[in-house]
Amino acid sequence: MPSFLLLLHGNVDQPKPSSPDEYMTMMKTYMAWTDRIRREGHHQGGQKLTDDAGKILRNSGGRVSITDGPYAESKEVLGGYYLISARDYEEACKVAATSPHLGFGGRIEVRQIHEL
Amino acid sequence: MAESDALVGDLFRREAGKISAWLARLLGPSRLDLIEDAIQDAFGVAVARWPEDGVPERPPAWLAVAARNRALDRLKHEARSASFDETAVWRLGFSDPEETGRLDDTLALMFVACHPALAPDEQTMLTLKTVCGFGVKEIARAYLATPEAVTQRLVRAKRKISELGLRFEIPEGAALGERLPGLIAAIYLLFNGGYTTGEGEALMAGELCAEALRLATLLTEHRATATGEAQALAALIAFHHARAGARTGAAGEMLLLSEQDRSKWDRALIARGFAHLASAMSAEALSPLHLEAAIAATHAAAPSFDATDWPTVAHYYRFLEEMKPTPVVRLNAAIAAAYADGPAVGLARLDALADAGKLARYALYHAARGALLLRLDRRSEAAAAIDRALACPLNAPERAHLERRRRDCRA
Repeated sequence: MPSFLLLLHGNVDQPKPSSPDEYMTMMKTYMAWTDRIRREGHHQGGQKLTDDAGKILRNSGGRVSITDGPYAESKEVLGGYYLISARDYEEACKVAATSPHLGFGGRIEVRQIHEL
Repeated sequence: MAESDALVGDLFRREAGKISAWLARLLGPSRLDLIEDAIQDAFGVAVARWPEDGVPERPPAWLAVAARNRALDRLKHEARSASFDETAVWRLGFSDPEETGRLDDTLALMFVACHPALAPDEQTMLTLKTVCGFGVKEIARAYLATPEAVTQRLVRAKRKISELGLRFEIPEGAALGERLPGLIAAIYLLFNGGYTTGEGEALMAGELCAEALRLATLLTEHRATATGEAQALAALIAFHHARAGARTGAAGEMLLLSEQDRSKWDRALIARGFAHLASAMSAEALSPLHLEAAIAATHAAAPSFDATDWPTVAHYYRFLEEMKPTPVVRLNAAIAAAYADGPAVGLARLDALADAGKLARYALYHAARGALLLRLDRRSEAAAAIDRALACPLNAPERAHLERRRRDCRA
């Protein structure tokens, strides 16, 4: 079955949970979703990324330059990713559509892994 | 009800250690207390719900999820403090409950539990609790301590671990070289506590040996920890544990090597011992463990007690005595010499040890002297020696054995 990468984009200006209880509730929602896609056989893996823009490397004129990531200006961060199994884009998007990430104001980019 | 109770009890040991190691990787070893409580809660829920709801399809994964959720609940209390680090919560969030039982995690937890900052008995108790999934009551039975005393030791040990702020990892490079001998020593102690425990219950003693064998085997399965010494430890424990079923008679009395029915020895385990010994011998340096394993191998290879290659055993003991001249090693070396070179030689060596360490309070010393005196037909001296052995701390099978010996002196 093909694999898809779900890239969880978020906005640093999005209001953060204001209390530990709210924070834990949010986390439980993510966790319950992860458990569900695991039970349904979609889940392959996933990690949280650190809350920064990351780094971009470019080769310009034979020299490698390192700059802050693509979203440094735009307040956007790539917050995490999931690797899932799905039959096709349609099913992958169906799975992604149920993610609580969308409810918390984030965007999800779905990309298919090129199987060799 | 009873059926799922038994299932939970059985599962607990097997899964609790795996879940501890998994959660310790996610939350760090300074949270061992929280992890233990979370696992306890999860098993409590299982005991309460499975009889009515039925046993879930994959009990280990169910337990891991339940323990993780309980850990999250408990983190909530921590989250109220200003210094709370959210990454622990995120790591739980992205964790995979199917990933329990990884060798790297179990070994990392063993390195935490056997940290040199802990006293030796704290190391073995904490290992039994977190790595092996033993309950406090079981540990108390193994060491003839009260559950309260064991709890106190564990609390102290976990506090020390928290204060050290350890990383959860298998040490690398020079740090591995420094820490591995301590880990091997702790497993050896666990095995020794099971094998020659003075007073603990016989059943628990067998379980300690089985756990020590399991942990030593784990060391030999990881590239970083499969040193010659670890292989020698696994070999030594395998040889000794192979005799577990032959060590006690029908009435629970202890049977000596000479009295054991060798057909009851576990041949598969002996074969495993020889495989570990072969790996151990490829190491550059020989350790005392190598010699102890080689001695145990010589016994395991003997078709009968009389056919034992005593000169080889005595030869290994001479080397061991040079490396590790402890009173107990010297005692055993003297006994081996008695078989290789005759009871008079052995007795002279034992008598030369009379003032060594605490041997005078060690039942085996007097029992060995008694046995040699009996072979030399010096019966009244033999009886006196065995009486002194009987005055030392003994477990019930050992006492029964010596009382039989005592009667032989009169026959």
